Amino acid sequence: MLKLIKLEIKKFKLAGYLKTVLFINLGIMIALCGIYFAEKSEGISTLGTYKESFEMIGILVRAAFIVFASVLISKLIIDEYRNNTISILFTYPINRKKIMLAKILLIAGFTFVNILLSSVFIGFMFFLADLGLNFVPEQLTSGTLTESIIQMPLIAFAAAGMGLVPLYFGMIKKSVPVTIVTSILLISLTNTTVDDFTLSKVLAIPIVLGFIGVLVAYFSVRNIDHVDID
Amino acid sequence: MTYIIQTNQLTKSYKESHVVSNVNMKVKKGEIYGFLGPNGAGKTTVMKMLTGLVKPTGGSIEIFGEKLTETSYDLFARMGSIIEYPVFYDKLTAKENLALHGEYMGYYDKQAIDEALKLVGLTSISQKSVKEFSLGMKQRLGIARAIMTKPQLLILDEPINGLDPVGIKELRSLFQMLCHEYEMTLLISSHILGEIELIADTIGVIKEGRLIEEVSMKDIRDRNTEYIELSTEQTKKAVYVLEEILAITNYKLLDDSIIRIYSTEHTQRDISKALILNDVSIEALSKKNHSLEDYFLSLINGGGLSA
Repeated sequence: MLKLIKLEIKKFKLAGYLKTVLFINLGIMIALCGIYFAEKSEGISTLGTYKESFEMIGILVRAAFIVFASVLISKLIIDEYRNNTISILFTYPINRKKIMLAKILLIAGFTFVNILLSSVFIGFMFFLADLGLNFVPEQLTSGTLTESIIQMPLIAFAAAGMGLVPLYFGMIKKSVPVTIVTSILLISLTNTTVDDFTLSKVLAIPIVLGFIGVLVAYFSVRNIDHVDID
Repeated sequence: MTYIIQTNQLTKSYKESHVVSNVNMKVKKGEIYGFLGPNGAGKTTVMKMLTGLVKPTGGSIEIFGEKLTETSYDLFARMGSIIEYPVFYDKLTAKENLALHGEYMGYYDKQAIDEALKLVGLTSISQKSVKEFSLGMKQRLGIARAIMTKPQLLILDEPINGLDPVGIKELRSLFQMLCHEYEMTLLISSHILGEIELIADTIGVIKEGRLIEEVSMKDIRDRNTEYIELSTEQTKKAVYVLEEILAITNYKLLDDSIIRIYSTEHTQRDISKALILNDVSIEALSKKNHSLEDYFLSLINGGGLSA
């Protein structure tokens, strides 16, 4: 399995995507600055406490990497069908399920690690910035920090699973736009705030969606042995 | 007799329509099997079923004497194929594509890539990305990919598409070399009769999803379709010589100047000698075959609807 994953990385030159990850991190930091200054001028604040700030960072990071996951799904799975290279891949002496699983694990793993590392990185940068500029009125307590750190892997895991949901819709018509639009809808749906209530803030919901994602992944490979490649 | 491929009542239908019906195909070890049929006859579908890409709705397939099931992946390690048009990871170079293929096939001979590229004449451009390749070059690269692992069975769907005449000739000798020196069994489909005729040992003819004929080329050649064609202005005199002197009765007068001699008792040399001795002027005298084309067309057209 590890070998199959390595071959996928080689085939799609995924090492080049690390640069993209850096740019995404940079983008999120710029967005945070934007949010800070916009809210300051309007006199409201979602970055008033460290808890709120870390939540905001979490939302931005997950949003970015769930969309990124859909891009990877498009490239690693949908495009193989669209370019018909799947017909090469499926004539190899390798179980079709294993091939697909390698792709899915790679995408989910990449998403998980990136969410985790980016949250930590941006959180740390935010903390450093606050040390110098002092825009968050309160001090970072060890309680807030511990809570965020404990929740982080769980949320990242749920998000990585959620990132696989677009696979299901994208595979129906083997469509790249559908895949990417699904991921954007998913993020909008879970992060829209209505009367101060956001779906993703109820921890159970992203986790359920995460499991749905894993289920979707399972269903998309379950029947792969019977499917005709036309 | 060892069969490398044997299908039994192989059928594929989509909803109501049968794309392939009850095909019983037998490909012998070490031969080149020409799979002939008009476009849309079901050649590609049969080949896709043989390579596991498409699942049969009826019948069964045996490859290397083992039944092909939905999960018999191991068999594919001994096969090489091009189905429909050759596809690659366009952004990678020719070499990278082949290296990737080797990894997936579990074939790690480093020299195999260069050897395969050399065999198809692509050595000079192996570092170019496939995106820049023409159809003919892709076709060659597809063949290189299919043969680099030295498979026992090679399945090639329309491999000469997009090639120029020189390229076709090169590939023809490559296929024969693979068959004779590497002892590969080749299944090659084509709708171009003349090409198949030149290399195949056995021909399978498919029409509207049915295998309507499977025959060895030797049998076709033996089917009394050889004749000697004589072209002369003096047909009357020539006929006299044939009947009275050579005692040939199995001949046919086509028009005022052409006689076809079907009898095999006399060689071309004997006939020309007799004619010259009797002062018959000969414009041309040659041995001819009913080409496979005649035979094929009669099969295709004979079965009711014309293709």
